[in-house]
Order: sequence, then C-alpha cells, then structure tokens
Amino acid sequence: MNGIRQFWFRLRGSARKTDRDAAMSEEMQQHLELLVERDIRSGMPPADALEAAQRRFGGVDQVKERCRDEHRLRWVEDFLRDIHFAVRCLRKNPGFTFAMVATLAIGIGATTAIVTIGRSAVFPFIPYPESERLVIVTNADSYDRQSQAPFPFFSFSYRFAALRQTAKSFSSLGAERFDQMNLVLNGVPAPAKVDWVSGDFFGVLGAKLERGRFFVPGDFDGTRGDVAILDWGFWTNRLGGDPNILGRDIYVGGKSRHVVGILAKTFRMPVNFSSGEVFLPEGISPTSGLWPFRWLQVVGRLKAGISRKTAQAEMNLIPIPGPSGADATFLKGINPRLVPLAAYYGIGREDIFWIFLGAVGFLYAISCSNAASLMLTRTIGRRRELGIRLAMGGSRRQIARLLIAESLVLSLSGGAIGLIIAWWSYSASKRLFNVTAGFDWAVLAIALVLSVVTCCVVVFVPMTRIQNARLNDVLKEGAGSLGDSRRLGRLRACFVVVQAALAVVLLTGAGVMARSFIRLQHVNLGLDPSNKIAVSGILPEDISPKAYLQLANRTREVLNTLPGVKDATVSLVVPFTDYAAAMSCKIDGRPELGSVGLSYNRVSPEYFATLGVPILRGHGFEGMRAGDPLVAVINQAAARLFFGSSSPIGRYLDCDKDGKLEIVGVAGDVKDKNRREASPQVYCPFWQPPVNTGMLFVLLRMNGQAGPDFEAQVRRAAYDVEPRMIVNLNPLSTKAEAGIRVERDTMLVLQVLSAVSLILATTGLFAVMAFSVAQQNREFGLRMALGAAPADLMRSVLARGLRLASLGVVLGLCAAWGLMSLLKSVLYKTSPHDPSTLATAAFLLIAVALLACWLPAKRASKIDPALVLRSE
Amino acid sequence: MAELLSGTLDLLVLRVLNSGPLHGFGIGERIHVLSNEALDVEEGSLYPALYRMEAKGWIEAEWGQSERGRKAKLYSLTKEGRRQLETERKNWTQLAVAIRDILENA
Repeated sequence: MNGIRQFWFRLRGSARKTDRDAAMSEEMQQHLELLVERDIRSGMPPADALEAAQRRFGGVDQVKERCRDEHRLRWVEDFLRDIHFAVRCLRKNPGFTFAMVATLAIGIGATTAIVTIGRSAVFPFIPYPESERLVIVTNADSYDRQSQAPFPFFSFSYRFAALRQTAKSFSSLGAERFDQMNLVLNGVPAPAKVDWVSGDFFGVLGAKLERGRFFVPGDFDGTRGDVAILDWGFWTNRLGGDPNILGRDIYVGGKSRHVVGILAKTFRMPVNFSSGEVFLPEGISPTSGLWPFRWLQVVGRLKAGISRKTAQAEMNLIPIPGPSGADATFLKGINPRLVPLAAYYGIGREDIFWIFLGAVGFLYAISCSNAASLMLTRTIGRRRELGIRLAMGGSRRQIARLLIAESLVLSLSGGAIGLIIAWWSYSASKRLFNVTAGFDWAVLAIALVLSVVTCCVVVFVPMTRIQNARLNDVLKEGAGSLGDSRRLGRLRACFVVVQAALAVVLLTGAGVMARSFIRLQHVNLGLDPSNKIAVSGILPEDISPKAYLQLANRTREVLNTLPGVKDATVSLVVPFTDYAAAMSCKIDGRPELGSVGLSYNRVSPEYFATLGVPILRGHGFEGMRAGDPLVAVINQAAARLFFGSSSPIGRYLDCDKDGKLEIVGVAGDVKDKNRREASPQVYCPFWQPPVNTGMLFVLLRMNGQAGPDFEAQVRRAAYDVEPRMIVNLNPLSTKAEAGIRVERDTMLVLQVLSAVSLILATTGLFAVMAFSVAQQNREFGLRMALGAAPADLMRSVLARGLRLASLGVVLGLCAAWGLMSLLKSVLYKTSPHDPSTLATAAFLLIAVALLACWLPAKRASKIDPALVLRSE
Repeated sequence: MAELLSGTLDLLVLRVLNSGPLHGFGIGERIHVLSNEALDVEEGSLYPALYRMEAKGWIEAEWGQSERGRKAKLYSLTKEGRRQLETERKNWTQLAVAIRDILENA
C-alpha cells in the first residue's frame, strides 16, 4: 500500500518538475537567510555571516539533488531523457532507421495479424449468454464422423417433436427453418428472408427485445391471429425504423401479419443459421411435419451441470419414432448428434491455423534476426563514438541504456506500423477464417508484447559486445582494422545463414502447397460444372405429392424448351452446394454392416446425361415411370465399399418401410462435396416415395453462355407453371470453386509470407555483404595494387556470399525435410518432400542471393587502389 | 558535538513536529536547543530526510506564515506520521534499555 502511494507521489513529482524545483530553491534560500539573520543577531558582521552560512550549508545544489531524488522516479526521468536522445540519434541516421522500422513492421505486423485471427479461431466470440451450454443437434452420419462442424440440419418436425418430448438433458430446445417469402411494401413485392421458429427458440439463445414481446403459446396455434417479430436491421433499413411499428401489419407470404416485437440491435442468429429478417411462429407437433425440405435446424441449451458427453450418451439411446403413416425410413436409426455451437464459429480448420502460425513464426524470426544484424552493424560502425563516450566518463550502463532506448523506439514504431499492416491483413483475411472476434485492445497488447520482445532480441547481441569491449582497444583501432571484427563478421554471417535457411523452409512450404493446390484444382470431379445452371424454386406448402410430381415434370419440360438450354433434369440435391440428403438402409448380402447411411439424391431420368455423369454398369432410369418397381443407381464408391469386386446389379438396398430398391446401375463418382474422395451415394427416381414437396431444383445444361435475359425467361416460364413459386438461379461453377477456397487461400497466405521472407533474407544478405566489402576496402585496394584483377575481387566477394547462402540452403532443406510432414493433412496427392519443389526453393534462394551480392561485388571491383592507399 | 546515530534523525524530526508545524530551519534549531546544543543537524542531512518522509506520507508540507510573518514551507505530522513516531519511539526505548543493560551488567 505504502509503496504504491509513494510511487504516485514520486510520479507526480516527476511530472511537475519545474514547480518542484522552484519551491525547493525558495525553501533553501530562506533557510540560508535565516542562518545569516541568526548569526548577525549574535553579533557577526554581515559578510562573515553570509560566508559562514554558505560554508555550513555546504553545496546547495548537491542537497537539492538529493532532495529531488526523494521526490521523483529517477528512472522515469532518465528513461524519458534516453528516449529523447535516442530519437535524436536515429533522426540523424534515416537510412538505418527506415530499414529497421520496415523490417520490424513486417515481422510484427504479420505475426500480430495471424495471432489475432488465431485468437478468434481458438476462442471464438459467441454472442449468447453461457454459450458453452449451447449445442447444435445434427444427425450422426456414419461417413462424416471426422468433421468437426458437420452439416447442421436435424430434420424433421416429427423428430424434433419426439426429441423435445423425451430428451432430459436439455433445459430448452429450439428449432428454426428458413424460408423466403415475398414481402409487399407500399405495393411493391420483394423477397424477404424468413425464419420460422419454434416456441423456445429465442429463449434458448437468450435473445433480448428492442420493444414488444416474444411469441406466446397462442401465436403458434393461430388463435391469436398471424403475428411476426422483426429483425432490428430489417426494421431500421426496410421500414425506416417506424416508431409505431408495433401493432402495424406487414404483408408477407400472402398474409397480413401483426408485428408484435422487434429484436434487440445486438441480436444475431448463430452463424450456421440463416439470418432472418422476419421471424414467424412455427407450431411443431408430431403430426405437423410435412415432408421434404422442411429442414429444421435445432439448437439446444444443456441443463446446468450436464456435459455434452452425458447428453450425447442419452441421444445414443433415445428412441426417435417415425411419423405415423408412410415415409418413415428416412433418417430412421440415425440418432441425434450433439455438436457444440462453437464448432460452427472460428476456422474449423485448426491444422491450417497451426501451419500459418508456424510460417509466420519463421517470418518473425527472419525479421528479428535481420533487425539484430542491422543493429549490430550500427553498433560496430559506432564503436569510435561509443568509445569516446566511455572515455568521457559515460558508464557502460548508460551506453547500454542508450542502446535499449534506441531499439525500443525502433521496435515500438515498427510495432505501430505493424499494427496497421495487421489491421489491413486482418480485414483482408476475415472472409477466410470466419472471424467473429474484433480487432481490439488484446491485439494492441499482442503487438506491444511482440515489440518489446523484439527489442530485447535485437539489443541482445550488441549489448554483449559493449560489455566485453575494452576502452583502450576501441580508441586505438582505426575504423578499418577492428580487432575482433572477424568474430563479429562470423556472427553476422550466422544471421545470414539462419535467415536463408528459414526462407528456404517457407519457400518449400509455399511450393508444396501450390503444387497440391494445382493438383486439387485439376481433380476430375466426375462432373463438369461449367455451363450448368441450378434453378431452385420454393413452393407453397399446400401442394400434394401428386401435384408436386406433375409440377416438377412440367417445370423441367418448360425450362428445357428455353433457348440455349440443351438438357434439363430434376434433382433433389444441387451438386457443390452445402445441402445434402442422406438415407439409411441395409445392404443385400451384407447383414453384418447393419443399417448404413448414404448420401442420397432423387433425380429425373435425364440427370446422368445432363450432368455428364457416366453410367458405368447397368442402366439409368430412362423409360421408367411412377408406379414401376423401386430401383436405385449407386455410385462407384458405394459399389466398391459394399460389393467389392462382385457386380451390384440386381442386388437390393433394403429400406424397410420404403421397400427394397433394386440396384439397376452404377454411376461414376462425383466429388462435389469433397474433392479428395467420393463418398458412397445412391440415386433414386424422383417419383419414388417418399416424395418431397416444398422445394424444386432443376439443373440445366446450356449451349454455351446464357443470354442476358435468360434469368427473366426462366422466371417467366416458372411463373406460368406455378405463379407462387419463388425462383433463384445459380451457376454450378461458382459453387464448385468455393469448394477449394480454403486450400487456395492457404496457398496464397503461404506465398505472401514466403515472398516477404525471401525479400527480408535477401536484404539481410545484401547488407552483410555491402558492409563487409566496405570494411575490407583497404584490403581490396592493396590486392588491386599488388596486381589482382577486378574480376578476381568480384569473384571472391560473390563466392563468399554464395558460400553463406548455400550453407543456409543446406540447413533449410534439412529443416524443410523434417517440418513439411506437418503439412500432410492439407496436401492432396503431393509428397511433403517433393524433390522438385525442394530443388526449386533452393535454386530460387541461390539465384536471389547472387543478385544480392552482385552490387557489393561490383563495388569491390571498382575500388581505386590509389585512393585507398592515399587515405592511409 | 555528538554525532547523530544513523536512523535516529527521523525519530527526532517526528518528535519535534509532534508539538506543531515548523519550517526546516526551525526543526534544526529546535533539535539543537532541545539537545542542550549537543546535536547539530546538518542541512545536507535534514532536507533529504524531510523530503523522504514527505514522500512516505509521514509529514506534509504547506506554504504558510512563519512566526515572524514571512512566507515559509511548514512541515506538520500526518496521522501516519504520529503512528510512525510511536513505533520509532518504542523501538528506540527498547534499544536504549538493551544497550544500557549491556553497558551496566557486562
């Protein structure tokens, strides 16, 4: 306590230096006067009295200084003076200052950026109270167990209703399904994002309201009329923040709905949910579940004290009944799987984060060693100056303090600029990492800590030199004949070698990633996405399965007649999108497998021809109609997995109540969800039960580019078939590219990091060579005078540079050999020790090193011996 | 003139100030007089001690009027200073008794 008070007292004293000194002078002056007065009173002549008083008091300035020491933080004042002096020294040397600040800014900036992004990946910010208790309920999928954040859909209403009734681990469960509806504002219809939510949904997330109320039980059974809750952003942007919104009606989805609440400004839907603008109440009961595409997303809040593991154990045993009636097998036997909500936040790809962290660590090491090398050079250059300071009575401590102050100024300015670089790259890479945490004080702290660490690293080597320097040697030596310059040179050479080695590792990493990416890009997807367009239609709920089949056929036929369309097919699933369907069945002849889950698609007979997926064995669905025996086509991966080398044609998939499906054909693999390998897949004719209504996808193969008014034509055609259908168009190729985005961005980041590291390492080499040539000026002059040809000198400088670079390359290759295995998880069909990549990295570094030595070598060959000798 | 035992100056200053605010010169004079002119505190020790004690919060300084009506920096005891005085006085008594015992009984 006392210590802290004293600290503040002294800090205040340091801050009010001039006030303090004035008061002190006055106090001492008065004391002197009182002394004199006393002596005069006792009979001393005034002149003697003054002299006696002064003698008695001793050195007033010394006393003052000792008093000052009691009232200030000496180190603070000294530190500020050191900083002030350091800034002056640095301003006299703009070239050095610029090089240092630039190097440090790059190192600190890159590291800060990656650590910031990593922080939000490891500790994502999830904007709900007690978010660790929130889980997403998905379906256990036998082929996707390794995925950390699996497909978040649960489906269907009856499953949700059963779960809500039986599960005991949750304090509350909420369901949501997304929708799109026309919203009519001032007579103009426009699509709006709609989320249907179950009773508890907002409660689970702990949502707050800006005004109004949440849904109440009467809203779900319709006894209180049609109501809606609005998103804050929607209310302010689309409705102009109308203050009288509560009680007003909005016309959405063909109905007038009463607005009862506005969500709080801070409320966000979880990232894996659609961010709805309008929320409508969905009453969910075991019988209300209509089929298809009524995909539900379910979020649950675990009871306090119940771990996810305990809850999952309950999920594994929970009986989830089918709905009464037909269509019961879909997802039967597939139990709920609980995934922490956090899994959908952050990067979801920890391996890539660690790769980035490693790479940026290397870059940071290069920039630090570069800075240390520059600082060392400067210290050597200043040996005379520092020697004179020593000789004039400056202590080693003071000189060390000056060095620390200088490197602190440098690394803090480097850190400040680095922060700008970090902010810039953070915004640029936000998209890549699904970052939710902001750029905040913690980042500033990271940059600051890095700056100080850098400062310590940078100043360490020159400090040891100063501690060991002998004053006499320093003063005796001429600038060109430093006693232990050889040892210093070796130290600097070490820096160069390390930098080259680190750069080689980064180059190799970037190279291997690029090679893997190119392979991944040219993977045969089994389906050419170019010239394919997916038309999706959202249908009203009251369409019966029979009407749906007619509608699907009609739409397909109508779209097929549009100009430019070559083929058209109905499909339940659009390749390359996140939407997936799964079914479970037993395999004929493989009872030991039990019930297996398979990716699942329901298509019209034109599907295989339209998308160019080959039928390798048997046949497709051509010529079949509704009412024919149940059939299926499986893909090669499924055939291999379940039937091995024997033919699957004529075998059965036993789907319980849905009946036995006879396998009539084997189609080629399509790697639309995962480029690395195809998952087992089943295709059925789209008319086979269970028929899905609600949403319709038609895939089109185009004759070349679609015309500019093609979209309008599609909409018109769809409108003629069913005016209530909401239509969207998406080319498949953009979706296909999105599938390798993570790999592409990883490659880009590594390429940027390795390019920067190459530049840093090269400038480091250049600086060392230029400096050593300058130091050996006299030696070169002498050799020239003794008859050495300029070409010889040049060669000797180049040889020295190359020796350093090659040593670095060899070390770097060894390190790369060991470290590249860490990349294995992200590489595709590329050896982490790919010899040609290693060779390219080595060659690149040597080539750049030659370039860096060229200028110093040229300078060495241009030395005028007469000039050098005369200067001696 | 007796040498001041190190560490006792604080005690003397605190004791003198216990009877009321004084300026630096007055403190020195008072110690001089009260010790029957045996002790003479040097300014070179007095002022650093005063400043130190002020930083520690035992005494506080204020510009005010001295007895002869001139402006002076007057030091006075704080609550904490009074506590400190008590502790130091107790310590000193114990020490003095101990030393006397040794000197008389050895």
